[in-house]
Amino acid sequence: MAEQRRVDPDPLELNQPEVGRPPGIFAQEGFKSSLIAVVSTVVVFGGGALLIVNSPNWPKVRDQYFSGEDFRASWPKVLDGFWVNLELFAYSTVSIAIVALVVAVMRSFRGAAFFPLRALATIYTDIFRGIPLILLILLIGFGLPALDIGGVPRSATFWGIVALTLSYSAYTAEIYRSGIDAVPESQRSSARALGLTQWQSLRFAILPQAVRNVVPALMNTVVSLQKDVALISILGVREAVREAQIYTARTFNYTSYVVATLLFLAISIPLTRVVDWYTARDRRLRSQAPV
Amino acid sequence: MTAKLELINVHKSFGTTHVLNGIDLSVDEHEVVCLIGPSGCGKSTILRCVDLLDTIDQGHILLDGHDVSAKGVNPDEVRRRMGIVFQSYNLFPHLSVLDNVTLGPRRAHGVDKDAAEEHAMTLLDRFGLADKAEDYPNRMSGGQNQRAAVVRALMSDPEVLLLDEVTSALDPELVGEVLSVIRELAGAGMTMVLATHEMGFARDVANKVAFLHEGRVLEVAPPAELFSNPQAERTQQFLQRVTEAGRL
Repeated sequence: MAEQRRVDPDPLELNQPEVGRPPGIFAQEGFKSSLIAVVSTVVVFGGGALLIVNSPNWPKVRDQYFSGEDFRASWPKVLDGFWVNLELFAYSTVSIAIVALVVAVMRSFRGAAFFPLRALATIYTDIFRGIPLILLILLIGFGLPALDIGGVPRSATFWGIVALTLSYSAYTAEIYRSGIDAVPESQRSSARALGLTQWQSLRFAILPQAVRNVVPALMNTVVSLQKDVALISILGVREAVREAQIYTARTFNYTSYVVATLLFLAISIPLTRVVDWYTARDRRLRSQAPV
Repeated sequence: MTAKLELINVHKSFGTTHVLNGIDLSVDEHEVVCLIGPSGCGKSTILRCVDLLDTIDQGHILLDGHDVSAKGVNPDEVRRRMGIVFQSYNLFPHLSVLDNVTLGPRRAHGVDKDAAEEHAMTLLDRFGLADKAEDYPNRMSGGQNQRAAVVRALMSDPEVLLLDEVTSALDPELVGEVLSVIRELAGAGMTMVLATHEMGFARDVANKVAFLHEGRVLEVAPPAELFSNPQAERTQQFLQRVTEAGRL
């Protein structure tokens, strides 16, 4: 509503930058508090490091976990495996996004006629949220291929993705649903009043707003999925963790696990940063938006 | 002659609250009927029930003599013949004005994109919003939002236009622009039912004013009659309070 009136946003010049005051951490926090931050960081982390390095078995542990030679030796195989992880991650992200949306939409349909859809969706989320992911992977990964259904792949990779999708979709559907519920009821009335069917109202009016509501939550799920993909290793899929295990079994050296850890961190830390950045930006934009 | 819209003994409760207790009302073609009365008397509920957004518990709603509240009637078909404008505009925040107003024609009526947009631009231009077509609702004033909402309701050439306190959420200086839009529609012969608190406007634009109290129509009369010579005691009290508040 302020659009038509031009108002000086800061008539008293309260928010003008002060001249001669350099920006940055020292300017804002003061030199003393910055010094305290640095000193306490050094004490805590340095103290911790000293404690580890001076422990009686450190030299042995160092060779077991941080051997440069084993790092180089295990790197190629573990990296190869990690590409498999990324592939699994990509496929399951897409299938989860779709299945979860379908389940959420099923749960959002109203009216007595749609009771079976709602019931089905509710039972689905209840069951698959209730089973530990690792158990689900074992059950589906070893159980279903044994059926030997015609035309369906028997590979552990395929059934691993199915298991991840079933479990993650149950959670993700609830995220979508919270987004759908957060769209005001008046938007639904407004869409129905145009003569749109229930499905059209969801598709064109409600879902676009709902998804926007939950993007930060969805991105958090993606970060978590990126790591849980490694659970498929229990089916014998030769991804990063499996390759690291194989190396360890052969050499009795655990450095390969550190290699795998670093590879996962190389993806998950930037991903987490992006989520945080997006969430902060989203919050800022929403609080600015005139209503 | 059959009335365009007729409500016969309409009842509606929400839980244990009886909002409508036997509404009888008839609206002829090209007629403008204003619903007035204290808050909570059922004005908005009537409009929502007519548009089948709420289902009535008892009674009948007739459109051109056909019972649209009967079982087996597809509510989407009925809604496509009517337009409704809400107090709080309810434009879709993720769509531009043009996409807001063309959504109904394109998806519910199967009009193709170009034809819908051409029609939309004609209407937006008529209501002074042509330059806002690409804007998003939260970048516009309340008055512009509400005019866009009126255009959205008009896009499907409704046989009846329902207006639910369309100026109540507006800043006082923006009320005029929306009222003049409605006045223009009345002049063009649009059949309308308005729930309103703007008594002066009701007197000006309505063919018939219905005073509601506790879910019943207590009195229906042409505005000149109802405002200057109210029959029911409740109507007299209500109008007196409105007059004291300087709203008439």
